[in-house]
Amino acid sequence: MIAGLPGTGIGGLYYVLSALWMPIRQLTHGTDKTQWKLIGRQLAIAACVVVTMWLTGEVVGRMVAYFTATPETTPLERVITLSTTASSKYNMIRVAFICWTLGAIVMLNLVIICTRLGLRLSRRLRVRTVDMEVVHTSMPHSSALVGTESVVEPNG
Amino acid sequence: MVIEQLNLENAPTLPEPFIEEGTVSSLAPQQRRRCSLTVIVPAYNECDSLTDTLRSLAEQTVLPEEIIVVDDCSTDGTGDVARALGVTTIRPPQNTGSKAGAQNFALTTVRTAYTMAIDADTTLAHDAIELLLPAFDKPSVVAACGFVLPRFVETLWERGRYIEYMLAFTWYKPIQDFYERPMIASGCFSMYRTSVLQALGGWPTRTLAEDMDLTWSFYRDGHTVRFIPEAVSYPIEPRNYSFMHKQLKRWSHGFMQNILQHWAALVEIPYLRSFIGVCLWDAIFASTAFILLIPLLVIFFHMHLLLLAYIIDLPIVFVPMLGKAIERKEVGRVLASVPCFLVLRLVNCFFVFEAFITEILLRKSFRQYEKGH
Repeated sequence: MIAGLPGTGIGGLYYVLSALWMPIRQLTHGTDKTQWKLIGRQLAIAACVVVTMWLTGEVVGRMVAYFTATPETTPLERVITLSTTASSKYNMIRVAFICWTLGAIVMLNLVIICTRLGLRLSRRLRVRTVDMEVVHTSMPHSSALVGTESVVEPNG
Repeated sequence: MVIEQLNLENAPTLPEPFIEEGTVSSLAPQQRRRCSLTVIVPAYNECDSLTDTLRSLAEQTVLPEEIIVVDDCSTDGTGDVARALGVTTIRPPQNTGSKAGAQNFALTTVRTAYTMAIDADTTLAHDAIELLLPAFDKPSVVAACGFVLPRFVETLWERGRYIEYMLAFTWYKPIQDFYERPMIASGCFSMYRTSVLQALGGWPTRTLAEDMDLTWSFYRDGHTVRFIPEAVSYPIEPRNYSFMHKQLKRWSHGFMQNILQHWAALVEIPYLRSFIGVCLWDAIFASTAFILLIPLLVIFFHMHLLLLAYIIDLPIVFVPMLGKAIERKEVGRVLASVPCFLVLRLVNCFFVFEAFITEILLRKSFRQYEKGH
């Protein structure tokens, strides 16, 4: 099976970033030299994805501008005007859009990290609470200090 | 039951598929290497496709020690077909209710070092087993899966699934494997270390996506799973909406159920947590945008340009699979199938969105296992 919706949303940029990170991980953690072939292939795909994304934004942006241009100009004039104008004006890929996507990826990972920290903290608190309960029940009438017995809950 | 005893003559088969790969070993079965592997084939009313599956197993360059067909109380004579072909055929006293249940029924009898699960509608490239085996040289590896492609690419739904697989198995999965976290060892074709699989209690039956559940359980216990792209399998994908909707419902609910089941363990597993997080994010937000937000903005605010969102990423979807398409000489098929992917994606959005609402928000678990194919 495959999960979720392949080919949508932030997944595209996330996997491009993951591919770009591959050589760095290989240099720092990698031991298998045959992995460089895979890294090269995935990097090439990532580069092609970025270029294609930019080209798509450019082409679609120009098409949109063409079809929404004022009707006073002739089709030929519209094409000439668009081809001589700065491309960034018509490219639909906006820096803000990429920033939003990157922001979503960063935010998502932060949420995961916070959840992990929260879980660890709650587990520790639960273990400490159980420790105290064990001490309390084993010494109902005494205030003497004894070693604590640690009890970890099965699902903790 | 030994492989050379398979009686494949006069057995029912499906039409020739479009996709065929590899060459049949010229060696006789007796001369081919045999490995300590048991193949479990769960089958419920699969008499039409079972022969092709068993034939592809018999033609492997490395042969398994035993093939067990679990006839899960079929009514179409699947058990008879399996028995006629000479493989070990077992039948539980009553229908187990799921693929996982049928596989577990056979797992208790497995004595070999490795166990392979293959669907009764799936065939393998002739060297698939041989290519998967070396993954287990590393002791930490407990499961390995291969490349999956639909056997037939004809209908809209098959074509859509073909693009999904091409994208996932050429772009996503190799990256996941590099980080040692393939998200799922596909249930239609995966190999496992028997001792670990049995120690875990077999394939979990608590969710509708037993392959995902098992894979994540392996990670939780500190094991490694590998993806071997050279080992190729060809399942039959749903040909029509009737089957496709059952499969999409099962997959989307299974995904959400596994998130609920494993989330506390998942946050501790590097990379996997991000892969799943991104997958869940897209499943929720992309489906909400596609089926709610964009239509509303177009209808009420006349933002017609937003309709481009449904197709604007088409070239980006196409690019990652281009290399594989050239390698397999299937560029034309990919180009012709990409529009079908858009349809399947949109339909999938409804199922993912519904599963998210039902499983996560309303906490109503969907448990009815409906066979997608």
